[in-house]
Amino acid sequence: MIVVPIACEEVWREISNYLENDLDGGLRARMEAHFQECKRCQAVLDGTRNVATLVGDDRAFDIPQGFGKRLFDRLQSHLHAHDITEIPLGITNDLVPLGSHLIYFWETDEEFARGVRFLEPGFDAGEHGILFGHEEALERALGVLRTSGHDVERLIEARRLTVLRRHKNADATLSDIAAVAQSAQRAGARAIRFLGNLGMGRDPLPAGEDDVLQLESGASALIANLPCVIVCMYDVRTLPGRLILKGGLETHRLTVCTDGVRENPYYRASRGSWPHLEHLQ
Amino acid sequence: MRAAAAFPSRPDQQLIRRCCSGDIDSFYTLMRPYERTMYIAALALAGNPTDAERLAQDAALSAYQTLSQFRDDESFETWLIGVTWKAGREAFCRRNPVGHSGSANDGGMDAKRPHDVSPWHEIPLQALGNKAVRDLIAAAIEGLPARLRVVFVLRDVLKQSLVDSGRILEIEEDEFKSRLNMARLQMIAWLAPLANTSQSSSAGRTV
Repeated sequence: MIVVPIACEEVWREISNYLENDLDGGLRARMEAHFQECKRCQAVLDGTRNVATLVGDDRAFDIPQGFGKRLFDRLQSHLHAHDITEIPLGITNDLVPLGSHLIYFWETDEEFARGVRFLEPGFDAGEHGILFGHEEALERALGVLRTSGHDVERLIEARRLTVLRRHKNADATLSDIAAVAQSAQRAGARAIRFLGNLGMGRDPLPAGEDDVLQLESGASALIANLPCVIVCMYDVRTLPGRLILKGGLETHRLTVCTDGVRENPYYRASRGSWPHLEHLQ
Repeated sequence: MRAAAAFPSRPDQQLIRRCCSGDIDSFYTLMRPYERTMYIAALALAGNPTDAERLAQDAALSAYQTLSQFRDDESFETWLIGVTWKAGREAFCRRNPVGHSGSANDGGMDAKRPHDVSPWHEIPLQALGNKAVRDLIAAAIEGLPARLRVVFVLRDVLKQSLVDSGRILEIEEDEFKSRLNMARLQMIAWLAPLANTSQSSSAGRTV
């Protein structure tokens, strides 16, 4: 077979592709024939191959001493730079510990707007707000925030506020909440404020009353390991008494009253994963 | 193209799941084997050890914050290199504002015409035990124009595939190959004296 000669310049241009085995057979054969004849190009090939072997070896680079420790010290200091144990409630002048799960009963427009104020102190404090509920409640709460001068779209875009719609059952909803809360925490949020709304008359409960009880119990367990405070807003005009008693009073350790936060005497500590479901059988 | 595959039993995957649920200690465990990779990727971008260390730290933080975006069908090491590139890209492009097809900072014609390095006497891997050799290699890479340095480090130092490297740097495959070729030719010119000394060394002298 006759091999068409190839110029050194073309060999130099293709030397990497030759080493990567990324050439058609004809060009490769021409280069191999050229290497037999040209000591200069053979040296370029040998050198390129030799250098690739050397620099690819783990011993080729010295990593600065203490690099790993400084890397993780920086990470540690960033992730724990803003460690806090309590946050201002916003609805009243109280500070509440992270991990708190509070009930807030409302009846009038003013009381509803006051409940939404829970989210406001966090927007400028490096915290993340989660507004959760059914469509009607979300529209109204976002309206309250806008009226208070907050650019809701900008807050969402800046990942300081997440709006979660209540479409699913308790398990799926809790997974959604956990994902948002953990993502916010990894993004550096120093605390997470979760404002949930339950019942306003227009939209039915998506999965029934027992599902709400399951959600409330699961929420308490969920935030045990997160820098999070949950405030649940209950509309006393439209919710049935059973839900107010079992879901509102028995699953929240703290109650937001007009004159401040109070221990809730109706609270029943969890006895299992979903104690209220067992209790209701 | 690399075939997509899931590796559910790899320890990385278990650690990643724990990290995503807020376990910071697992993140430390996850990252430890990749410290070298992150430092070298950062060094390729930053061009000097001080900035490289800062960039690697920023990248580690970014990796923690975006870990949930990692997909099971890609290499975690490749993903981390991509995170490092994203963390340093803005500063890198500001310092090296040459377009994709430009060659002004690539060393001109010399970059495409190699020095005469014949005959090349192989530098053995054992030579890496000598700090002077390692320093010379580091200086040679640092001396590459930035646009060539990043492709060389991704392909030859960190052993990333052509496809992954091009994807990380967001450049076309042909452009990547062209830069890689120029980088390799410049590297042998830098290290040719070492190859000659290597021959002398084998004859009894030290490197």
